[in-house]
Amino acid sequence: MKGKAEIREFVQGLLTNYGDDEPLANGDSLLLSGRLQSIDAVEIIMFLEQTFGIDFAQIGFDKELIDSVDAIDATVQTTMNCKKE
Amino acid sequence: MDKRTGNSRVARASDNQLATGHAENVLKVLSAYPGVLEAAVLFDTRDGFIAFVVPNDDYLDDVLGRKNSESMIINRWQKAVDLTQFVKGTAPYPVGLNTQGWNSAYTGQEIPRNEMREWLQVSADEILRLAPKVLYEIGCGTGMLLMQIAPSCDRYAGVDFSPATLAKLREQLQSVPSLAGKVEVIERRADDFGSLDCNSFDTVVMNSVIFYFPNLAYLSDVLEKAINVVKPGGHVYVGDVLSLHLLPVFASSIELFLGDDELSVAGLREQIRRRVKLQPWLFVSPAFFLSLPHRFSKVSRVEIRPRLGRASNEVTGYRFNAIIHVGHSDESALEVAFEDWTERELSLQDIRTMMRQRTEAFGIMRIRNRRLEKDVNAFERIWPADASLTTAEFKHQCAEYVMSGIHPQDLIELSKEESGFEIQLSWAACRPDGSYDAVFSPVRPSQFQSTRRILWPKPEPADLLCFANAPGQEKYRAQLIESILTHCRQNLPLDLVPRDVTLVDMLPRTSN
Repeated sequence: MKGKAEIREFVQGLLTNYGDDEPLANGDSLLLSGRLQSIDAVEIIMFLEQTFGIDFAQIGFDKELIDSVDAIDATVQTTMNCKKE
Repeated sequence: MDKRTGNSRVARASDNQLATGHAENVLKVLSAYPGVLEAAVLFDTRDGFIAFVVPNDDYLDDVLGRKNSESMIINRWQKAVDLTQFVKGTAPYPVGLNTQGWNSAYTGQEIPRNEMREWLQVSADEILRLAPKVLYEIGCGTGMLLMQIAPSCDRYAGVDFSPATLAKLREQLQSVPSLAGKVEVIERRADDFGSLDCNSFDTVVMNSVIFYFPNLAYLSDVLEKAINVVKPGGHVYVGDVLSLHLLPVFASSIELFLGDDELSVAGLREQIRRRVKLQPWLFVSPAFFLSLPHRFSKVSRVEIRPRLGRASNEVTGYRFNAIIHVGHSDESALEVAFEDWTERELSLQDIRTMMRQRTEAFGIMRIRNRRLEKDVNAFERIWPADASLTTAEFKHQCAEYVMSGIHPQDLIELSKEESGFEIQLSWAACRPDGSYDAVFSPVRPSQFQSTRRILWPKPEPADLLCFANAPGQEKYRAQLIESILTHCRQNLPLDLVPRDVTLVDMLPRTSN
């Protein structure tokens, strides 16, 4: 099932690339804290495009939209709800 | 035959006669492996053989599948650049100065507008001095250089891989009707030159672009095509190249800025190593560009210049410009005697006095670079430091350092104050401490001194081994090393199997 667990797993994979095995809380800042680099934002965007069909050209980009697992999940939910409407 | 250097495979070993005999066998086996382009071995009485291998790019691309990753990396960067144009809530940028996406690696924030303005002016001035009339710009982005340079050209073709960025540029171009007839912008990858004819431009510009390239082979391919479309007497200008030799200092400087004050020095070292290893950008050595005249008969010489500018940021500090001169030149080289700056640690005033006293050209080498010396000092102190110190304690120690180097921009300004001499700066020696060389030559109206070839101090052989880092290629390179070792285990007695294989971009041509 696509959802928060999948997002969390993806983010955890990015952190592992950096040898970051610190605990990850869903609200932890990823990009603004420097825990992930800005190029990782692209990985997250591509993941969201491919997995959830989100088009940032339409909704606009802001690092805060993808700065934590919770924020990513909220972005996905908001966009999906807009699509349904 | 090595298609890049034109040299056949080179065999080397130590002076140990027994080892030399065995080394021939080891080299024979190594050279027979299809993933090996060139190889050399060293013998150490304790560790045995250590192999240095120049990988075969075709093997990496086709057999190990690197070519697929190349497209993936380019697509990722294209997406990253597109993304910068989708940022919400930004104020409109002035025409010709859309710096969206130019963020500091330290703060993640946009580089200040005044620093970007200086960067643009310095870049445009340097390119305009090449007197371009028919120019092809790879990676024109939002058109910052285009807006400065196109008015002086007869024709300006700008290409970029980011459709979102080009859309912004096209919007801006509508507000400058005078450029309409001579500027065209095309969505195209750097390695796609379409059907351009040989010698169809006098200048190709690639500024702040090549760090997006996936690997050195891709850069070589683009440069070969660029050189092909430039007519004799023209130039390929490669600007804002991230210097490979400064990558460790750059990584250390960022980690010291970002690092948690409570982190130990041991932890800090680990972060620096990780940042170097996982660096997503392509860092290139000046030595790579200096090798171009040996590879392409159309290239007469290459200049390597540190970036000018007063701003203190990663762009001025860690990047250089390579100016590739295309076409045969029979000009004689300006022979200059170089004084070693480190012997007397000359001050700016000392140099001013020298300019007033001398009548012939003179050079100064190894000038400590004031822009970087704090970063270099910290980097050099991290490794011998007490590993249990905290980052805050370490920073406190570093703060006591007293600078003695000379800012490159101070020398440029000195030459303006002291009329009669002009100055050229070079980073051709590839030193990992960022020190630079300078030549001061009397201005003689009959000679166009700034275009003369200078015999600059050369890199040390050890600095010629690697031409670039390998972003995102860890997997392929590890696979290649493992397959070479497996091949050696299958074809050599166990005690002759190299203990270690190091991948390099070139083997030194001297017996040592």
